[in-house]
Amino acid sequence: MNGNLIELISVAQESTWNSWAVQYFFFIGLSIGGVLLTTPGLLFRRPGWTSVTRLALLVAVTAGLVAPVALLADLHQPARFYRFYLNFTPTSWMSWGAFLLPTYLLSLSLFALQALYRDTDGRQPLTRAAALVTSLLAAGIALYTGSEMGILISRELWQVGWLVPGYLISGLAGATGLALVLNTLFSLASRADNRLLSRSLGLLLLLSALWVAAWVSAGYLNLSGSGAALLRLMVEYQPTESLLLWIGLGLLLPLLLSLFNHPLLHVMTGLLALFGAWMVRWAMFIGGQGIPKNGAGFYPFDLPPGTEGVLGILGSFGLWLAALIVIRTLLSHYKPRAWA
Amino acid sequence: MDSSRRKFLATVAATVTTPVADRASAARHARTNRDKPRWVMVVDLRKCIGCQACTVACSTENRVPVGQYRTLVNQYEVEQEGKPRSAMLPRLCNHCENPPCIPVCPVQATYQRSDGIVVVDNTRCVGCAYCVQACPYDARFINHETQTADKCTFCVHRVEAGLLPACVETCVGGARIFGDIKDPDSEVSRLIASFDTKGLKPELKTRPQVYYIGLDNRLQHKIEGVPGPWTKTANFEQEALS
Repeated sequence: MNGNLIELISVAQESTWNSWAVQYFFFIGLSIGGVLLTTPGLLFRRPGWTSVTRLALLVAVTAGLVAPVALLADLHQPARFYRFYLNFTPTSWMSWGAFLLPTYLLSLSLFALQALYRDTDGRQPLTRAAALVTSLLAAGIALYTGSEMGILISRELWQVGWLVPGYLISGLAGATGLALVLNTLFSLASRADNRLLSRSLGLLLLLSALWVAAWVSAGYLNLSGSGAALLRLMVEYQPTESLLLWIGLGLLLPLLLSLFNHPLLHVMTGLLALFGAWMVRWAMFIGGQGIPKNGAGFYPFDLPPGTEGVLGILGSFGLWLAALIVIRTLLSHYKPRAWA
Repeated sequence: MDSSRRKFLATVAATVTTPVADRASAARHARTNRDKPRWVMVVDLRKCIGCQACTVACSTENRVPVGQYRTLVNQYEVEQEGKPRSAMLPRLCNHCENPPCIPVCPVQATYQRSDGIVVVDNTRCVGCAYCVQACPYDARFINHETQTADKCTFCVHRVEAGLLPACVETCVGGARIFGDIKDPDSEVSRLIASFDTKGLKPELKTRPQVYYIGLDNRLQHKIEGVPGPWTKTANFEQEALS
């Protein structure tokens, strides 16, 4: 901090992408993570992945149902969302996303219908095709969400090259964590599946850790402006949120816990990984908007208690839970062999 | 009437009425395209006293909600030759030649007019705030009342009526000068030609069209220093003005 320059009159800039945007990125990240988690079983035909594949798809569908609600809620004029569909703008990643998202969700719904209801063992070629198409669309979602933020020249922290893989890996980790939690809690849980998920989660968390380490190092070595901004965010501006919550509780602790094979620990590991996937997005959005474009210091963010804030976050989790209950109940009823 | 205002009105009058009859004058102006001006602003920081009259005038003219600003004069204490000095920096939308905010709008609600002014159609804007994020100059915000993107418009409604933007009209020190950069005889053109003017964040290649005279290097980019005490904008409950 240069003590020779003092800001006398300045105004903190409000953040405009708030809790709802974080919720959208979180749930869509879980959804695409869930879809990509079906690929070992359905595309690469790895043995032992059948029930995990179904669980991953359940995660993908339930999260995919909540995501568009959160996205609409973040618009300040949500009733005008139809405008997206009247005015395709190829220069805007958000415009691409507006078309990509419903396409992905449609593909996901059909994939879920096929793999959760019609062909629960995943043997038919149609199931494989559905997995492939939906996975490609999921990759497209990862690309568009990271690029949407990353191409902006106004915020140094947001860079496409770091955000796209970061959101992808953390989304996969979050989805795996959620699958692990669900598997442990469902009556049909098998220890083999838990071990598989736990191992996969450990691997994904390790990848996440490597990603953060690479980004921070690039910043420390002055190779990356966004890395330098991230370092500043972690060390100077928001050490509690970034170091303690995101890296500590959300990344390193679940990584450590994933090495142990106890059901109670599995639930903790999964929940912490889920928290980590949420926290990285919180850090990018809220932390990122707190770093002034023009001013000095850091703009603090007040999380409002109402529907734009805490209640909104809780509400979206509640909606997810409702979706899970409804879908699992339907599946148990119509496909008891696989789900009851 | 101030000389810059007189010259400005002459520019507007000549643009909107029939071509100038005087041949010499016509020859001198033949190079410029008088049908399409390019509006720019020059901010002479030697004259800014930080009175915020422009902030208030703009806020009143454009019904900007309290706590939000289309223009604002930042004030800094900088060290010059070992002594503390006040430095003013009026900030507003730069109406860039290469605006980063326009391509990102997913519904094409924001656009740049042929005279260079960047505006928002707030009947179309969905309030996604992508343009607010995209602007490197904190020029845009989501208007609390309209829930759409908002920014300085160079008072386009006044300019079209042959008036100056509110901030220019009211500037006590005569620090804000507005005019057509395509007219070589305009006050802005003369100032830009005579002084070494600077735009904010030139490395971003936005080609901002607000030219500062006497801008300190330390203020040209993100400010590194002791932050101001205003960490929150107060949200006052306010009824609509009509």
